[in-house]
Amino acid sequence: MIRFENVTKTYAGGATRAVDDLTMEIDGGKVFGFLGPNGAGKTTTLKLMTGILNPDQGQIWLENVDLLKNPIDAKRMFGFVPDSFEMFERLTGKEYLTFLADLYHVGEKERKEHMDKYLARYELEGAINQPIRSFSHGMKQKLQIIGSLIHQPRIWILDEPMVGLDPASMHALKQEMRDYCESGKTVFFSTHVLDVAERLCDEVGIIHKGKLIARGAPETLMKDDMVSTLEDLFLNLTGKEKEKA
Amino acid sequence: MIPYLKVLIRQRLAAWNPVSFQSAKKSKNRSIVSFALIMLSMVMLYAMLVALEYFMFGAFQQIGEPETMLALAGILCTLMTVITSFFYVLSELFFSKDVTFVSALPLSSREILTAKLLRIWLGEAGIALLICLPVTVLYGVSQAMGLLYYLKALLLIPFIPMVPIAVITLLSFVLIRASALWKRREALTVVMSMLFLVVYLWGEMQFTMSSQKDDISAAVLQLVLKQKPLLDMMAGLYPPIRWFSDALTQSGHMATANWLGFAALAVAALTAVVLLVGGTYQHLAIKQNETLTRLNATARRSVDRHGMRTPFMALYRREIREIFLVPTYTMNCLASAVIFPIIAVITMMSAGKAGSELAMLPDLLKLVPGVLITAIATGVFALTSNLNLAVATSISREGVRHEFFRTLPVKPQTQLAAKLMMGLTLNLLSGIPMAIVLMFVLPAIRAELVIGFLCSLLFSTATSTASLMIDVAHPKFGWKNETEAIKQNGMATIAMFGSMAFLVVCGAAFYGLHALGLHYALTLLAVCAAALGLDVLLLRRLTGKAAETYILQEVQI
Repeated sequence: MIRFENVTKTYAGGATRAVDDLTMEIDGGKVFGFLGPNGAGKTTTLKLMTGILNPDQGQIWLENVDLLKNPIDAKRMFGFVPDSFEMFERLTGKEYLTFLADLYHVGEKERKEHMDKYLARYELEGAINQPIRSFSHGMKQKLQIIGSLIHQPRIWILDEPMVGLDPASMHALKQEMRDYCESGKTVFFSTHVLDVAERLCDEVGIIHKGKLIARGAPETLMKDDMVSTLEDLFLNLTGKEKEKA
Repeated sequence: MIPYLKVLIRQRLAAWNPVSFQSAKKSKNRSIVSFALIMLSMVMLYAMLVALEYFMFGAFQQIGEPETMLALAGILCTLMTVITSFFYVLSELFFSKDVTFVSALPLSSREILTAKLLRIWLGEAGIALLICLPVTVLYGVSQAMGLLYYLKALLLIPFIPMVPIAVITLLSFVLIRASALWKRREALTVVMSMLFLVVYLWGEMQFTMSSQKDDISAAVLQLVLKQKPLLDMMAGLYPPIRWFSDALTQSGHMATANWLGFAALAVAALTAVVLLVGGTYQHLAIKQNETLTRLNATARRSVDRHGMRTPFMALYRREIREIFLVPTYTMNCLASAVIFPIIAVITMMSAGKAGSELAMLPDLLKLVPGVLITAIATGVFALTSNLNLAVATSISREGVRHEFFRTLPVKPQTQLAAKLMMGLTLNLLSGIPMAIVLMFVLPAIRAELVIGFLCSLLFSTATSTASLMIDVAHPKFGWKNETEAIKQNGMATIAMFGSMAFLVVCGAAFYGLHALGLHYALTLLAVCAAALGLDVLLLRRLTGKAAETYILQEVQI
C-alpha cells in the first residue's frame, strides 16, 4: 500500500509547483502506472516517495510506515529503479548486487537464489563479473532491475523501466511486474509507453503540471471519456488541461 | 578540420566563462564572485612566479649572464609542458568523450589529430607566454632593447611547447599501444603517475636542497651558481634552447637565422608526429574505447561467493574500493603515503653526506627531551594525515548518486560512520609508511615515533571528522568528472587548510603551556586530552545534527 496525503513539492523558491497537493492511495496487489507529459511531476513524485526529495508539505506512507517519521523502515519496504544509471560504474555487476544485498540484510541463501534467478531471467550471467561501466545501457537497466528485487520488497517502484531494454527483456519485465503484484505486492511505475500501461496496469494515474488529473482502471477511464485507447484519453485530458491553462 | 578546431577552442574558452560557474543553487552574482576569487588566487600565484623570476634574473645579472635567464625560462617552459601536458595529452587524445562521435564525422584521422594537437598547443602557448614574458621584459628593460626585440619574443615564445608536445604525443601513442589490450589500464595509469611523481619530487628536492641561506637574493645566487652546470647540461641536451636565447639577444642575420631555425624545428616536430602517427590515431583511439566492451566478450570466471556483511561494512568497503579503483582519487588520497616517505628518505640520504648540517641530526636528537620528540612526531604524523582529501570529499564524491544513498534503508549515522572510517583508514595508510621509514632511519627514537604516531590519531580523528562535517554542509554534487569532485573542490581545500591551522594552534598550545612552567609530558598529555575531548564532541555532532543534514541534502545541479 502506498498513500500520499496533500504532498506538495516546489522548486525555485516556490515559483514552480512540481507536485501540487497530491493525495492518492494505491492498494497492494496492483500494478499502478503513473503517466504524464514531460515535466509533469512524475519523476519528482517518485523521488518524493523514495526519500530522494523532501516534500514541502504532506505525508507519504509506504505499507503504513510514515516515510518522513520513520525513513529507514519505510525504505526497507521498496526497491527502486531510477530512470538514469548513475551508479558505481567501477564495481562489477556482482559486487554491486552483493553490496545491495548487504545493505538490505539479505541472507546468504536468499541472495544466491535471487541473483541466480534474475540473472538467468535477464540473461546477465555472462557479464556479471565485469565492471558496470563496460555494460550497455540496457544491461545497466537490467542490473538495476535485479538490484531492486534482491530483497524482494513489498513495493516495487520503477521510473521509465522499459527504456533501453530489448524486446525479450521488456517481456520478462512486464511478466515480472504482473507476477509481483499477484503475490500481493505493489508495483508503481512511470512510463510514456501508453500501450504497455493500458495492457499491464490495474490502475493508472495521470499527472499534469503537478496535479493528479485522472485516476482509475484504464478501461473505466476510457469508458468514461468515451475513447478507445489510453493514448486518446491521455491526449484528451492533457490537451484539455492545456486549453484551461 | 577548421570547424572541429573552432569547436574545440570554443569549448575550452567556455570553461572560463564566469556564467559556467553558475549552478541552480548559486545566483549569477555569487558565480561571478566565485570566479573573481579563483582569478584572484591565480593572479597571486602568478605574482609569486614573477617575484621568483625577478630574484633569479637579479642573480644572473650579478654573475654577468642575464641572457642565461632567457634560456632558463625557455628550459622551464619546456619542462613545464612535459610535466603538465603528459596526462593532458593522453586524456585529450585517447580518453576524451568525443572519440566515438568524431569517428563518425567526415574527417581523416590526421585531421582529427592535428586539430586536437593545435588546441593543446594553443593552451600551452598561452602558459609559455605567461612564464616567459616577465623574464623577457626584465631582460629588455635591463639591456634597453628596442621594439623589435619584444615583437620577436612575442612571436617566438609560443613555439616553445611544440617540441615537448610532439614528444609527449609519441610517448602517449606508445603507452596506449602497450596498454590498450591490458585490462588493468587504470592500475597502469596510477603506477605510472606515482613513478612520475617520485622522479619529479626527487629532481625538485635535489635542485632546491642545495641552498640553505636565509637571505633570498643570496640563496637564489647560490642556487644559480650551484646549478649552473645543470643548466648548461640541459642546454647541451636540448641545443635549440640556445637558438631561442640567441634569436632574442643577438641582432642581424644570425638572430634571424636562429629565430627561423627555432620556429621551423618546432613546427617540423609537430608536423612529423602528425605525419608519422596521424594515420593510426583514430584506429588506436577507437580500440582504446573498445577495451571495456571487449572485456564483456571474455567473461571472467565467476566467483561464487555470497558472504554477508553488515551495512556498515558494505558501505565502508565500497568507500575504500572507490578510492583504489578511481585513479584520480587514488592519486589525490594516497599521494601523501608515497611523498612523505620519499621526502624522509631523501632528507636522510642528504643527512648521511659529509658536511651536511643534517648529518648532526642523530646526535642532536640525543640532546632533545624524548617527550618533545614525541610531540614533534605527533605533529608530523598528524600533518601527513591531513593532506589526503578522501574524507573531506566523501560526500561530494557521491555526486548525483547521493540520490541512491538517500533511498537506502541505512541510518545516515551509519553511512557517515562508514565514510569517516574510510578516512581514518586512509590516514593510517598515509602515516604508517612515513612512520616505518622514520623508525628505520632514526632507530634511536623508535619509541617516541610509535607513541607520537598513536597520539597523532587523536588529532587526525578530529580534523577528519570536522572535514567530513564541512563536506556534509557544503557538498559539491554537480561535478562532471572526478577531478572536479576532489581536486577542484573549494570546501575540501578550506577543510585542509583549516586542519593545518588547527594543528598550528595545538602546537602553540603545547608551547604556551610549557612556557607557563608545565612539564613537557604533562603538556603533551593535556593537549592530547583536549584533542580526545574534541573528538568526542565532533563525533557526537557528526552522528547528530550532521547526519540529519546529510540525509536531507538534495542534489541540485
